[in-house]
Amino acid sequence: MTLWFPRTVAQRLCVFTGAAACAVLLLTMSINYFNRRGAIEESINVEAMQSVQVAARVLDDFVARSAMLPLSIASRQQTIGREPDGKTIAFLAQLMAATPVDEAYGVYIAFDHKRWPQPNAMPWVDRKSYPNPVVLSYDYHDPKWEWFNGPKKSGRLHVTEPYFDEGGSDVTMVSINRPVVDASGGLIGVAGMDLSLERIREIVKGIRMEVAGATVEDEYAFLVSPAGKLISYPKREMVTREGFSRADASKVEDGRLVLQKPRGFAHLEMGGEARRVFWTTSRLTGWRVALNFPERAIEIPAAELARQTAVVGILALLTMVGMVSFVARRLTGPVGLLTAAAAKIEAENYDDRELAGVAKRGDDLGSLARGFRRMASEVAAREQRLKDAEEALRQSEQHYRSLIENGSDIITVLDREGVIRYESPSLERVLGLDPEHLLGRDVFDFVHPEDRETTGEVFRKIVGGDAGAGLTPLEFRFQHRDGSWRLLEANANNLLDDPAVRGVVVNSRDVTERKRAKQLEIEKNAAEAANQTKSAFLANMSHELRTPLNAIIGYSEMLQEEAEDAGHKKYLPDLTKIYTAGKHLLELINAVLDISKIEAGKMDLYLESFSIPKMAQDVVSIIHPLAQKNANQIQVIAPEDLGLMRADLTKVRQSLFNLLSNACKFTEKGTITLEAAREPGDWVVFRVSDTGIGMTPEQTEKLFQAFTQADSSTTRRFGGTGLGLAISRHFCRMMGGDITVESKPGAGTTFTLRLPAEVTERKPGMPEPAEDHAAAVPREAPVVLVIDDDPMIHDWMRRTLAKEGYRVEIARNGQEGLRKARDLRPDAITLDVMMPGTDGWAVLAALKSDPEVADIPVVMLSIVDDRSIGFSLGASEYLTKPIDRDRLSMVLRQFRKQGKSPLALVVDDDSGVRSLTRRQLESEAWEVCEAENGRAALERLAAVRPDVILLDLMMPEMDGFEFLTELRKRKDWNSIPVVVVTAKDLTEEDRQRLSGQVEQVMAKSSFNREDLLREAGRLVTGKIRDRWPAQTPVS
Amino acid sequence: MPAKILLVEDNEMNRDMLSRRLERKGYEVAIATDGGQGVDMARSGAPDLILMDMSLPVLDGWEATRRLKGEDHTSHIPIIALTAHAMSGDREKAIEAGCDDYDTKPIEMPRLLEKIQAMLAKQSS
Repeated sequence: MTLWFPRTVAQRLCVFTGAAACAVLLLTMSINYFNRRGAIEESINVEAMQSVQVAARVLDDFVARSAMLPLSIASRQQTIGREPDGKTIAFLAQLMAATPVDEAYGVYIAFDHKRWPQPNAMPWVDRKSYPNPVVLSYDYHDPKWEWFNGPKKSGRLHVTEPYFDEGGSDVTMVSINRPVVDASGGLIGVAGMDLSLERIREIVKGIRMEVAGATVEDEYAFLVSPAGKLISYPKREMVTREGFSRADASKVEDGRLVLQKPRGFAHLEMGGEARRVFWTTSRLTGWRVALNFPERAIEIPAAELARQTAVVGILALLTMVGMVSFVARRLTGPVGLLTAAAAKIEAENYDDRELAGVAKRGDDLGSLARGFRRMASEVAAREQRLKDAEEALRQSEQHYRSLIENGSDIITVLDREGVIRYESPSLERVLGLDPEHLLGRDVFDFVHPEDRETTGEVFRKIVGGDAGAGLTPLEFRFQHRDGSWRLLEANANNLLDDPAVRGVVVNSRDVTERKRAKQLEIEKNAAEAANQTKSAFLANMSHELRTPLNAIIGYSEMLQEEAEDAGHKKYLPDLTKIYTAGKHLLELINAVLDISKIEAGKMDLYLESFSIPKMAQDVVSIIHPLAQKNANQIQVIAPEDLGLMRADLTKVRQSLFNLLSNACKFTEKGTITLEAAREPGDWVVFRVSDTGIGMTPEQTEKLFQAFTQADSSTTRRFGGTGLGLAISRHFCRMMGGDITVESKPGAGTTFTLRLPAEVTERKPGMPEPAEDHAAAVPREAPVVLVIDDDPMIHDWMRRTLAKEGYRVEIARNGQEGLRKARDLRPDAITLDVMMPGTDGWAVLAALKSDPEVADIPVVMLSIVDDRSIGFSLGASEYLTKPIDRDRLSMVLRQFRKQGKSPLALVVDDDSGVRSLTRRQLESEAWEVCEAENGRAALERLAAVRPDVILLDLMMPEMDGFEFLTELRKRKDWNSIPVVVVTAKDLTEEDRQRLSGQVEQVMAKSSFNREDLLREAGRLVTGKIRDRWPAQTPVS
Repeated sequence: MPAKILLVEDNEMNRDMLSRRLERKGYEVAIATDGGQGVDMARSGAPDLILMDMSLPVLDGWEATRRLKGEDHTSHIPIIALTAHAMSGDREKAIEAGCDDYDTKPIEMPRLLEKIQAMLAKQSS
């Protein structure tokens, strides 16, 4: 248990003030108490004394009143005679009748016998005798009879000692006597009455003393005669003779006490209890009236007083404590708050709102609080700064620590001698070594012996202060825990002079894997290069092999014929064997060539549109001899309405041929079915099914792997390269399709070849069409309409022209192109010459014959992407035949130069067209020269310099394309505007010719795709600038 | 009178083999070893049909064909193009260059003979 001890000023103030106040209060209260207690005792004593005195007076009064009877007798001395005559007796009887019984037991008169003939006669009336008085006669003159002799002598009232009436009344009584004297003063006799003590006793019993308004318990009054006889005493029988005879005051303690002196008070012990007795003596009777009460009676008001005192004291004390604590708190509270605030500061709580109240005070405590708050906020700020700094430092430390500890690099700190002073935890990760175990070890113990010299030298240089030595990564072998050597690459930094480090810091990383990966990369590249070389070699070899092979096949075939013709039949089988072997070898070589091309990524797709049923029939017609060999039936299900598909015809044909020839080989006397169909999602599906030997799942699994046949024995039995299926599947996948197989041994096989109806070419690495380029171009930008079926061209045009600030719109075919041209009114159009459906020429013709769109410049463009060839007609304008007069003059107006008369060169093989054009131009003040073909036109150009050339594309000798190509080669002719004239309605033949010409131009031109597209872009922007200088975006 | 075939072929063995086989079939065969010579011989010799290898030195088969087809007095001579391998478009390319038919090497003799006969028949009709 800990003793509470006041700690705060307030507590101490409270305690000490409280204690002092208590002491004073207690002292005051005690003095007051004892004073009051004395007063109470005094007042009780007075009260008690007064009580007995009052009682004595009451008894006196009672006796005095009783004495009226003898007085009244005495006062009637006239009436009564000198002797006990009848008259006297009657008077006594009358008197007796008028007297209440309890007061007077009897009345009498005792005459002085000297005057009476009968001495000592005394008339007597009592309650028994009444109404007949009796006359007693005895010698009352005898001095022993105090009742007679006392009054006779004193002449005054006399009360006798109590006595028991022996006369037979059995009553204790006293006699009250008075002398009766005549007028002369002579004694007549003594009148008296007997007074029963009962009444007296009742009076005594009624004596009570009140203390503090209440009667006292256990108190009693008693009465003692002067002779010491108890007249009244509680619980004492006195009415009987026997009891009366024993009723002596000396027999009780308080009685004895009372007899000692007439009046007083005394303490005594009675029955083990402290009691107090007050008494006094009746003047008339000499009786001693006493009151006996316990000392306890005094304690009752004393206890009340004590209680009151205590209550008052406690109230006073509480009031005082309250006041003291209030004052103390008022004074020391702020101090307490300051103390608490200070404690909070210790606990790092700076925001003490309670102190804010104190700070508002005007007194010195207020200013102390304000000062304290300022200090606290300063401390808080400092603490915060300190914390922030600590946190920053901690984070920084954590940052660098985690960089070091979690980094893959091993950080090592070495001292000047190369002894390890620190290793970062990554050591364990990288080299399996516990950093702790390496501390104090020589780092070179772990370096591969062969590398020690070089590393040691570098280390010495670094320690020697050569800063550059540590910068170059140094590679060396370091021993892993498992004993293996790991290749580390390390940089070192001399921080020996840095007081924070005092060492050489080495950053090392494990480059074993990197080296290995690098090595692997090199090997892989080498392998790939070797593979490429192999493929190229195979391709070349195959080609080179083919030439002699062709000779073998050809000569053996020829020899067969010659042998047959010459009748040398015995040579025929051998020659056939040579021929067949040669054919097989050729097949193999072709297959190997395909495979190597596929592997080298050199296999290209040549997409063209062709009729599905026609192609199917073609393939079957080729396979027919093979089918007959094994007596197989061939069935073709290819409805005419299957229509066209766009794919690589040769590859589709080759794949189908392969599937069909396989079916023929592995089926005997069965049916082989080729079924072609369209399937939802724009797929074309070819199914080749046979009723042949079938395959197990294990066999089908290996089916498409190169150089694998279902069973090696089948090769021997059926021949074949084993490459056909692998090649076919490759072809189909290149076209976005696939070949699948379903087969059961003995139940035939079905190969399914699926291809998109429109195969589109998407070479790996070719960028997706970038819509975002178009989005970046503002809507009001000049619009170029690109009419082309090739997404690559779309993308390229979009990117190039967006860069120039043009918006590109795409049309994927001629119809769409025409519609968009009318809807959008583009500022320029690029047009693909070779498009499926409506071809470029037709589109051009339609554009140029529609007055609404005829003015839009068109750049003809054709690119055959996979052959990286293409061409662009750099023509300035187009006209369609038959030439519209108005349009011709309008088109040519822009080429008319100011000043001199303009010259036009008309190049056309049709002399009618030439002369018609000439007439029209001449009517418009043009000078005209003519040429019937490209070659002639070139010859003309050597002599004249026209302002414009009108060029027909389709001409013999040298056509328009060739002419343009030639024209473009010559710098001085390059700028001459050319208006291309095409037929409005192209026949199929025309179209074929034009396409052929374009292809020829392409074949000759040295343009690669990029050049061509660049040229096209230049032409487009040039045309727009020519027409709309104001619209040209700033690029 | 046997039909006169001009064979333009630079490979000696192919040339020898094909010429002998054609002769054995009763054709008169003239031989040119490059494109230029082929064009000259076609102009001077007036063959009934030309078998033109496409990869030729000096002047390639495409160009030679174009020239022959571009000249009035040679344009009527049917030309069958012979290409080394069945590249897609070779046939179309040959047709576009002016060739009247097309076959691939190695020569399948019956097929080629069929084409020659068809071409000559068309020509004479």
